[in-house]
Amino acid sequence: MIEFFDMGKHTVFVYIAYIFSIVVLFIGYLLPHFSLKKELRNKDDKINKKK
Amino acid sequence: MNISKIANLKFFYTRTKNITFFLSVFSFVLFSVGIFWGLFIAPEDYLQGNSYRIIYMHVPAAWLSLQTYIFMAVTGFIALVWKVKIMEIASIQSAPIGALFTIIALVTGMIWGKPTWGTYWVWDARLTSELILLFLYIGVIALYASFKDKRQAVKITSLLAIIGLINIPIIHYSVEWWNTLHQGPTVTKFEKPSAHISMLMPLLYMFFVFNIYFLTVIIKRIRLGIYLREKNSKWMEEYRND
Amino acid sequence: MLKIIIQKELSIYFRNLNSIFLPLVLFFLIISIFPLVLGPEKKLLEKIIPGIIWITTILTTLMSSNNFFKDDFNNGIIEIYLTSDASVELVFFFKIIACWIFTCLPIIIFIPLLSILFDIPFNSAFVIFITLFIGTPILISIGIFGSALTIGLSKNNILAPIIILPFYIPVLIFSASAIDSVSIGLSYEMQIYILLAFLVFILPIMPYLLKYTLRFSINN
Repeated sequence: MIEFFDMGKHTVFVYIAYIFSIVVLFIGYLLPHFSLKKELRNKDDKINKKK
Repeated sequence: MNISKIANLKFFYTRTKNITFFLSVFSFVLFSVGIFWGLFIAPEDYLQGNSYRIIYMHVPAAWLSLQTYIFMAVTGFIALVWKVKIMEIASIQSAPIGALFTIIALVTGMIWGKPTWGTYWVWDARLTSELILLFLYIGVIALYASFKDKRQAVKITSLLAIIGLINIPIIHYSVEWWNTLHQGPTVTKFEKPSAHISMLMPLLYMFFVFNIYFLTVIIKRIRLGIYLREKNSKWMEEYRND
Repeated sequence: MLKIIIQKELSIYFRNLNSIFLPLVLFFLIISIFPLVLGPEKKLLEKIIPGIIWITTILTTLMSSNNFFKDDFNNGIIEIYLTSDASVELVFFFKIIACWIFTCLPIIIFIPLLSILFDIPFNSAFVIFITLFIGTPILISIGIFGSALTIGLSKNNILAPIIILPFYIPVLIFSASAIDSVSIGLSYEMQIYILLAFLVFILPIMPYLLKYTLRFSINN
């Protein structure tokens, strides 16, 4: 199993680069996702308060 | 279906909800395949060994960072000339995505630089122009953030994006020219991987995947932008009550 | 109309000579800080003095062009300009030229003195002079564009420089390389021609661009 993931002396660099990219891409995706959710929830709270 | 209908904010907001879900799943699957392909299936480069595999993230991100800037400027141009509301939103909402692509390209380039050049950062033409591109994005985002009136802000950032687009080739070529002047003999550029088809295919595939990702996120961001602008409008409340 | 505006502009500059004097003082102050920080080693200073001069020029032009439209904006004069029939483009053109004459020309005139202070050879000093002469109008007009973009904001002190500094890069690269070339005995004409091309391209466009930008900035 470990042999399969091994990339020789550059293993660390390759994996760090990939993990970093994936994390940043995820952040880029989740940011609009959750800010829209948050906005919707804020609006609902306001309406509930009025009632 | 004509264009004026898609450009309608209500139409876009109400119709894209399911599309974004589908696109999210689609790009997640595509990414998983692409990462596996790039990391394990593509053959090892005989010059650089395995470290070349970083290009499958680095190069598409760099392409997309430029492409997003073009997108931002073109949509900004359409917004200014034809006063299309959705283009205003698309223009400013694409800026953060572009900045993220630029950051990915820069950081993966630096990580790649360590095994290739021995240092993380070299004032190489491509890395330097990528860094300048990041500053251009930051300028647009900061300018937008500091205006209270967001509609006015969009007009001004669109203008800045258009001027920036005219400027990018000038900056790029002058940086390249500067680099050829100062390049010492010890600095070796990124060796172009011998364009074997089995190495090129994952690259083209990843480029396609990044485009799908961009499409997914830009639609999500446009939806967010539409909501922020129209949250007190009648149709939005009706739509939410349904 | 035009004549009156030009006269008014000039009289404003002449009335407070501070506006001519202070950029010049700032320029020399920053330049004289560099040897204090880096040490007075002659060889090092000789190598980096063109870069120092250009960086200092950038700082000076940034500071003087940052609040270019501030007074006119607060007085409401810009709105009068934009709504009047007079050719606003010409007014802006002369305003750019006036700003350059009163903030950059003094610096350029004092380059010979600077070359004595730092013992710059005549050839290099001449090229520094030429590049500043062609380059600073470009920098000033880009800086003014930045100030037009940020005019609607109350706090824009640091934003405008961030926006426009990337646009300065081509000018800097070609100027620095012209100075570099002459110091090692190569020809520097090509860089000068490219700078000239930038200047000829930007100066006529800038007034129209400013008019367009200010319309957006003011409408709120």
